[in-house]
Amino acid sequence: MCNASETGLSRGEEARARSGVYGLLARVFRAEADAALLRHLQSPEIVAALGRPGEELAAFLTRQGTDRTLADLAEEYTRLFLGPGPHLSLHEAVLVPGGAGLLWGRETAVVKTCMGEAGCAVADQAELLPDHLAVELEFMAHLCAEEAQGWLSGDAVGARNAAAWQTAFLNGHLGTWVGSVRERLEAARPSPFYAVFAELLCAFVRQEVETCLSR
Amino acid sequence: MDRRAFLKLGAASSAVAFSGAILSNRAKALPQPGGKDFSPATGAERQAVPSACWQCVTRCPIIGYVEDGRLVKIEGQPDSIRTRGVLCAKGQGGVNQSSDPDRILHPMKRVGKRGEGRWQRISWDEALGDLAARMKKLREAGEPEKVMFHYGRMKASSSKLIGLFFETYGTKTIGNHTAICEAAKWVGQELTWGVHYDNWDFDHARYVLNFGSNILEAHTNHVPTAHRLIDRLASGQLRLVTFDVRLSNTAAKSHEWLPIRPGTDRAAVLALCQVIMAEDLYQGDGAAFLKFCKATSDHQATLEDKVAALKAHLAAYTPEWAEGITGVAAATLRRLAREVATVKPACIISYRGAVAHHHGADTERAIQMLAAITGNIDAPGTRCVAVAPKWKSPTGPENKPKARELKIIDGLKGAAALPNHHVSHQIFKVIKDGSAGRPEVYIWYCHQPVYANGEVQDNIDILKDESLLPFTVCSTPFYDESAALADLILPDTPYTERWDWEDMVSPNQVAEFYIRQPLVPPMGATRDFADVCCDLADRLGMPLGFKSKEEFVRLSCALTPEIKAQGGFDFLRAKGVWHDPAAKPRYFSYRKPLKPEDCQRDGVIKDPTTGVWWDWKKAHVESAALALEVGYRATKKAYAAYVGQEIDGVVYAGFKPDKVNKSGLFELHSDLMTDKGFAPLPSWTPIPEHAAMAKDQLILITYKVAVQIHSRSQNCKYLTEIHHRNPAWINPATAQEKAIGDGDRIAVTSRFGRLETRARVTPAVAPGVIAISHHCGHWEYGRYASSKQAPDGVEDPDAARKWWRDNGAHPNWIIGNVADPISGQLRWMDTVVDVQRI
Ligand code: SF4
Repeated sequence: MCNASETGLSRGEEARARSGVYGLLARVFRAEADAALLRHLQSPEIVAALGRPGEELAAFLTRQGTDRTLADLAEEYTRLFLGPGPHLSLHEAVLVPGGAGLLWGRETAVVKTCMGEAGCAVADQAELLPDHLAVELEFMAHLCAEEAQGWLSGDAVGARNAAAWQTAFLNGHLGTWVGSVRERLEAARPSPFYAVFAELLCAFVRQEVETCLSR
Repeated sequence: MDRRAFLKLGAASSAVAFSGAILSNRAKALPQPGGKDFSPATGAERQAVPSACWQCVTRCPIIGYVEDGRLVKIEGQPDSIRTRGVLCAKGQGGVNQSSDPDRILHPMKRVGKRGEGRWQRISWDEALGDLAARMKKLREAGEPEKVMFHYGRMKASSSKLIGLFFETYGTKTIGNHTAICEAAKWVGQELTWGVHYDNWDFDHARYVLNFGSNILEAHTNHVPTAHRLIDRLASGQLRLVTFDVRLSNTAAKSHEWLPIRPGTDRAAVLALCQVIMAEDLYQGDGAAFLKFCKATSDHQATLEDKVAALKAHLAAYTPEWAEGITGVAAATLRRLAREVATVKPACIISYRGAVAHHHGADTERAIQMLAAITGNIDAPGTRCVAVAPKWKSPTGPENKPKARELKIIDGLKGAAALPNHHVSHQIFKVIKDGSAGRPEVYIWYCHQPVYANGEVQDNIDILKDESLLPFTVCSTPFYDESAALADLILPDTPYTERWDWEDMVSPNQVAEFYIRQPLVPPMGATRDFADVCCDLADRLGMPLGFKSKEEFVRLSCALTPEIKAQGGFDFLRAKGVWHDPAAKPRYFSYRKPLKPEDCQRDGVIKDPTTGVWWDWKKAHVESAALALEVGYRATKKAYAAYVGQEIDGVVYAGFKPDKVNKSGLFELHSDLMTDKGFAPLPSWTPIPEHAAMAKDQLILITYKVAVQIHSRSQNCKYLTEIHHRNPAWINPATAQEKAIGDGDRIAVTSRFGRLETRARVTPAVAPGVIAISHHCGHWEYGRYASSKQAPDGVEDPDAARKWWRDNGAHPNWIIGNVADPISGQLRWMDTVVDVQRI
């Protein structure tokens, strides 16, 4: 994706790091935060990597005891993303501009087919639809990991194929609706935790789309 | 967060990466759309032939599908990084070119008076025997320059091979057609950053400011750039603002359309520059870029000096001043100045709407200045120095004669100060004038001099006059208005039956190599004009070293290291396109410092007046002392010997000059302009005709639509069924003043002539303007373009289904072959007209 000389990483290392970002974002939006996630976010490497948002996040997460914070975040996750009542349904078919506006809309079917063509499927136990934000992010994490594996094992064809899938999926799906997630989330007045991650989600996916386009 | 920070975050996060929501195998190969096609009748797979479009100059890679030996469909080439498999309607309509029932399939000799329409079919041997004999006679008389070759579209291998033929023969009397396209834009660029052609890097742009480009319908790199712009618009990643007299489809898709008075874009640009300088918005990227700019007569001026000079020059060009000229509100101009200076990166684009005017070259210079002071030059997301593949090809016989030239291609005396791309639209006038001599054999190729230039009646009268042009030869696949005035027609192949290597610019700054190959064999007795040149060369006793274009392409593949390494000609025949997957997009090439040895080479010296390092030997100067005495700027064609530009003691690659002896700096201030009597910095000058026009007169503008090329696609029935009539657009307020209703017949009269058409009353055009599209009003070019069958035409069952009779009006009858005094560009948009209901 981004070329190695600009980032100082090899292509394989870079793809692995990108997989890590997608994985982290997938985790944040998939379910309520847990203690392992909070610990991870407060680790010095993460705070340093995140810069100012990392400091804000760390301050927010440490302003009260961990149990209390987790309870608050769980309540907020439910309010924001699960309902009952008005909430943000984190599905492409619901949020993509000009989309079906329905759960299991036509976009869901297209995403499912696309994942199938790439040799992937959503595990039943995940209890998530294929176009859920977390699933789409995890799909990208998976493709990046596959790309990394390709570069690091000398399988350039496999690496390029995985990269081509990423470009197609970013352009056709993930890249088309994360802007709506951020906008709608902003309107729902989230805590700094989700506000920071909505920003990161948007900024990262935007960078990814651009990097893919320039390849 | 920047990319690096995200990657650190990712590297530290791999522990939480996977939840197991995705079950996977290894990703299968990504299914590619396109590349295969099937017969709906039999279900059999059609033969897919990779090739390249040639409907317009963009030359997109394509795949042609052939069934039972017939070309039945054209699609985009999915492996192309330029088009990513996208193709426009014109490209798809190209399927009609081979099967046009009005094609000329045999060489033809006129038998009646010139233009009478009486023809006799002859053999190639007779046609070329006659032409070769005439050429031989002139060469033996020491007058090879009396063979004039005039081309319209000629690029890449066609240009190389045919150019080589005429060079080997010994004539430099070679006309082109750039002055009717965008010579003003190129000269504006040559004066500022040297080698012309700006690529627009939409993939990374966040803001696009458009002056008079209808990029979504027509552009010299149309599909590769237009589909990228659309992608960015559709995904909400970019803001597009368009200045245009007319609500083109590009203006309609923009976030903001600013209907501007014709020919006043420069005033708007100067006002934007004024705000940016006055409010110090140049600081940051703009200030950094100014290091590489020349903004005063001193090439060593400090940043402070440059800023002061620009501020002083621009001080009077306030938005309030520009509002009175452009019709665009001062507050809007001020806001746009702030937007374009602060939203990064911004890509500032321009085309004929802005530059096909009096001093159009200065408008392009002003646009370059706007891009420079905002730091939007040759960086990701901005207007960039173009990247194209570098082919190597056979160079022909070693001992070529010193070619001779009739001085007839740069227009009437004083037509243009810098005719870098010649003044093709005035060639007939210069021939009529006769004081610089006249060609005895006038050959044209892929060109429509009668129809494509202004003052059509003049063109017809001169081309028809045997006392002015004794022998006329036309190479064309189709019987058009110009071919009708030839003495000899050499039936050319359409692009669907030709070989070529191709080299158009990439929109993503990574070069793409590709070829054109015949989708079907040449029909009838038709021959690619390049093959005809090989044959003529043999007849003239000057063999070129290859017998056909196919061989030339094959040899070029072997000579070009990148292609040779992939498998050469056979590889490209099979694949159609190739780019280096490891290549990085090229930006900021001007910033590259040269190696010390580059300046220590024998012959390389520094010119103290400009800071240019140049090779006096390469410039054919007698000695270093003389070179230093005369200096870089005053040495003929010294630009070709440019090495680098010294800035603050470091020699950089800089902005390599072309066609003029500018320095390697990005020249906002041009001493060359001063030398020619123009202002050194981009400045406002009113269009004389507009300043003198009466209150009730209108300005005529022309435009192109998405489904037609200027004058070479109207024979395509699919396209002409969509666009064949072109009523004149007129604003409701203007129409009301003239008591003109929608659909009324109107007469449009200029000092060059009168035409009749119908009015289309629409607010989609600025008041005071009448807009008539190109493409229409043919009186030849076959039954679909003109309702007239060509002499050699055959039956076509679709002809019975042609439901339209109105072929529209051709505006060129009433537009003058009038040149921009700087560049020689035909001033398409400056004609003043009277409009009346009839
Ligand atoms: S832009 Fe359209 S007409 Fe021009 S070369 Fe490409 S496909 Fe052909």
